Amino acid sequence: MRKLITALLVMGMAMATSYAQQPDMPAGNSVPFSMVVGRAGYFLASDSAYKNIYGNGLVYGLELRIGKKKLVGWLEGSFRSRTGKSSFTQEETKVSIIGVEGGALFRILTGSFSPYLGAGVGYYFFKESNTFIGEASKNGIGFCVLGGASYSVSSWLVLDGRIKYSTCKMRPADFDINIGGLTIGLGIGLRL
Amino acid sequence: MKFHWVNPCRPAVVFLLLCASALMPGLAFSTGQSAKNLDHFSPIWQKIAAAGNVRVIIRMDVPLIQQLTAASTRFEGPDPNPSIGLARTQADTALRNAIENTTVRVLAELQGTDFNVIARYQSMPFLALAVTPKSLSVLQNCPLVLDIEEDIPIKLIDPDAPGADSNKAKTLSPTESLDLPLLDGSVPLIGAKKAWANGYTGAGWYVAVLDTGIRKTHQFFSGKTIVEACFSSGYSTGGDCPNGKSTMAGSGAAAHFPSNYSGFDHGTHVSGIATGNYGTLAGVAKNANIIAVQVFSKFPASQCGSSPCVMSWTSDILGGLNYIYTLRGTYAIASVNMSIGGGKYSSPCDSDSLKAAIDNLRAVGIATAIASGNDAYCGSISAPGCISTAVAVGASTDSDKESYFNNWDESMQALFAPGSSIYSSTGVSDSSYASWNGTSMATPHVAGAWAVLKSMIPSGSVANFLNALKSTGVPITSVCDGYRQAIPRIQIDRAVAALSNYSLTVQSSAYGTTDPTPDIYYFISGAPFQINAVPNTYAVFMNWSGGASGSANPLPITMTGSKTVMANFRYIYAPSVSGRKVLNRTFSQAEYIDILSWQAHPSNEGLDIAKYRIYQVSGTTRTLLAEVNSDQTEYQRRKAGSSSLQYEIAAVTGSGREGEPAAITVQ
Repeated sequence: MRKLITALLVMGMAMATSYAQQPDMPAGNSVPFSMVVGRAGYFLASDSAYKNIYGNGLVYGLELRIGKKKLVGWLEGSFRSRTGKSSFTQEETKVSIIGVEGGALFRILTGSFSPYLGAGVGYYFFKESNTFIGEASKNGIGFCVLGGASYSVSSWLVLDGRIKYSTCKMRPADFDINIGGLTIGLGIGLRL
Repeated sequence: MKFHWVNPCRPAVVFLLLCASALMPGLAFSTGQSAKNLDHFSPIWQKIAAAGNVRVIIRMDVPLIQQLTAASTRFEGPDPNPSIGLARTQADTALRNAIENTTVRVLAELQGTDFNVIARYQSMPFLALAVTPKSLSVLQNCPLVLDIEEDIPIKLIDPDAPGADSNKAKTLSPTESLDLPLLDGSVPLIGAKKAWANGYTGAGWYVAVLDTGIRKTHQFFSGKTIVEACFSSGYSTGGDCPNGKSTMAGSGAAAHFPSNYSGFDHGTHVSGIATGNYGTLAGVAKNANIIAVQVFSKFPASQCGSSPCVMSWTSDILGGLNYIYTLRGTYAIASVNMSIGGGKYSSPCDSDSLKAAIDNLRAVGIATAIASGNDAYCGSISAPGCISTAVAVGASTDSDKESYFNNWDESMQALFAPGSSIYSSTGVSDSSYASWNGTSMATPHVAGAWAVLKSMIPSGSVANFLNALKSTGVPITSVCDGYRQAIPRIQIDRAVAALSNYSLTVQSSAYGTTDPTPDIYYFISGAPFQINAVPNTYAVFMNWSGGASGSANPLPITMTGSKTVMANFRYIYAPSVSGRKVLNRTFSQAEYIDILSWQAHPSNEGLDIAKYRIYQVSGTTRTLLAEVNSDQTEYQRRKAGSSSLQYEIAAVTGSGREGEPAAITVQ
C-alpha cells in the first residue's frame, strides 16, 4: 500500500508540475491541452522466463494527458493477460498484470505532428495461477520510459504512436521476475 | 464303606418281576443275589451312633437293570436321525421308570422312619439318603436294597500342596523345578498342536468337567459354549448351589464359591487345560466346549483343617455323572474330567458306586479321566481313579519324568500326562492365570486329548482311543519299581497316526510353506482336509503338484488314499529402477517432479505381474503413492521443495502378491 501511495504521489506531482509550467500560454499554441487516449499495443517481455511460458502478446490501456505547451503529465492504466504452459508438464497456466503508470512528457511542438519523450513510475498488480502448482500474486513499483509521436487529425482527434519500456522486479513466489518489457502501440486520442 | 447281606425275596417282588418278564420277553432278570458282607457294616453303625444320622448311597435291586441299561447305552451321542433320538428317549425312559419304581418302593419301606432323600438317579439303580438308626435298620433288612455305601466327601486334589509318602523315595528332580510354567509347553509336548494341524481341535465336542465350577467369563473360555449344572447337597442341610438348593441347571449353575474356600477355582484351572483358548495360549482341545458341573459343597474349617474348604459328596459326583449321561443325546460329549480323589487303593475299587456311572458313560463312548492322586504313593492310587473302567491319569514333567507327587500303580494308572507347573486360567479375575502342580492338572490333558481324538473319529470307543494312546505314548518309568515298568505319557499326534487310515505328506518348494506346515498328516477314510499355500514375503504361490493340481488356494482334499502334495512358489524379483528430478515452473512459481523409471526383472518372466506399486519411504513409514499397470514403466511424482526423497517400487501379481521392492533415492 505504501508503494502504491508513493507511486500515486510521484505521478500526481509530475502531472501537477506539468500543468503548472505555462499558465499564460495562448490558446492557439496549446497543442494538445488535455486528452484521453485509448491504446492497444504489443508487449515484448524482457524476462526470458515470461517469454518462454507466455510469449509476447497484446496489451490494452487507457491514458489521460493533461498539460500546457511542451510539458504534460500522463496517467495510464493498462491490462494484459496470457495463458501459457508450464515448463515440464505443459499444463495450462495463466498470468494477468494490471499496471497504473504516470509521469511527464516533453513534447516537441511542430504543428499537428508532435514527437515526445517521457518517463514515469508505475504500480503493477501481478497474478499468476496454475491448477497444480498454485496461485501467486504480488504488487510492485516499476519505472518506465517512453517515446512517441502524436498527430492531430482534427481539432478533437489525435493519433498517437508510442514505444514504452517498463521494468518492475518482484518475487511473487519462487523466482525473481521482471514483469516489464517493451510495448509498441498505437492509440486514438480525444481532446477534451 | 459297605455292608452286604442275604436278600430274602419277598412274594411281592417275585410277582413284579414275573410281570416285567411277561412284558419284556427275552430279557433276563438281574436281581440281588450276592451274599452281603456284614464286616463292612459296623463302621456305618459306629458313625450313626456318634452323629445320629449318616449319609448313605444304596444300590437297589431294580428289575431288569442290566438289560435296561444295555438298551439305554446302545445310544451314544446326538444323531440327526429323529428315529434314533426317539429310540434313545424310549430306552432312557424305560430305564428311568424302572429305577424310579424301585425307588418309590424303597421309600415306601422307609415310611415311619426319619430319613431324607438326598438324590435320586435316572440312569443308575442308586438312591442317596440321610438315615437314622431306625431307617438304616429298615434298609438293612429291605430285600430291595442290595448294598449300602457310606456317602463320603471326597477331597479336591489340592494342586498347591501335593503330598508325599514318607515311605517313598520320590523327590523333586532337578529338571522338574526348572520346567517352564507353560500350558504352551505341555500342549506341544503331547503333540496336540500337530493334531490341531490335522484339523482335530475338539471342535463340536464337549468336555465335561466335574469340579468346583467355572469362571465362565474368563477370557480363556471366550467364544465357547458352556453348559452348566450344579450338584451340591451341602455340608449339613439344604444345598450349596447358587439357587440355594442341592441341584441346579442352566446359566450360572456352575459358578464357583467365594475365594475364601480353598480350591474354589480349581475347576477353572482344570477346564482351561482341557479346552482353554485365548491369544497364543490354548488348552489341549482348544476348540472344544465345556459342560461345567459343580459337584463340591462348602465344608467348615472343622472338617477341613485350618480354613473352610470344598469337598464333594460321592452322591453329588454320582448326580453329576448321571446328569452328563442324560445329556449325551443333546451334546457330543467326548470325556469327563474328574480331578478328584482320596484314599489309598492298591487294587481296583470296583465296588464304588461311581463305577456304574463310569461304565454307563464308557458304554456310550465317553471316557472318564480321573486323577491318580498327589500323595506320592507307590503301588496305590486314589479313588475314584482306582475304578478299573475309568482312565486313571498320573502326572509327569515336561522332561518326561514322573512328577514327584504322583500316585503310581503300574496296573491301575493308565496314562501319564504333564502335571508339573501347568499354566492355566484361575478364578481370581477374567484374565488371571497361574501355574499349578498336580495330577489334577494332568487329567484334563487326557480329557482334552479325548475330544481331539473324537473330532477325528466321532464313533471311537473308549477302549479304542485308550489303546491308541497307550500304544503310542512316550514311556515313563517310576522310581517306585526301580524304573522297570513304563506307563505311557500321551502323545496325541502319534495316537492320531495310529488311528488313521491314510497319510497325507505335505511338502513345499522354496519361497513358501503351507498351513498346516509341511509334514505328514493322518486321517481316516473320507476325512475332509484343507491346505493353505503360504508364500514367503516377496513370493507367490504358483500351483500344486504331486497328488493335486491347479492353483486353488486353499486346497480342499478328501482323503481316499495316502498321497503327497507339494505347494510350488516363485520369488518375485525387484525391478531395476532409475530416477531423476526435474523442475516444472511457471513464470513465478516452481515445483519439482521426481521421475521414476523401471524395467521388469528378467527372472519374473512367466509370472502374472499385474501392476507395480510405488511407495514413498520415510524412516520406517512406507506410504503407497500409486499403483500403475504392468505395461507402464515410468511414474512422476510432484513434490514441494527440492529435497531428496526415497522411493520403493515393487511388482504385484494378479493374485495380489507383492514382490521384492527396489529402493531408490532421487536427489
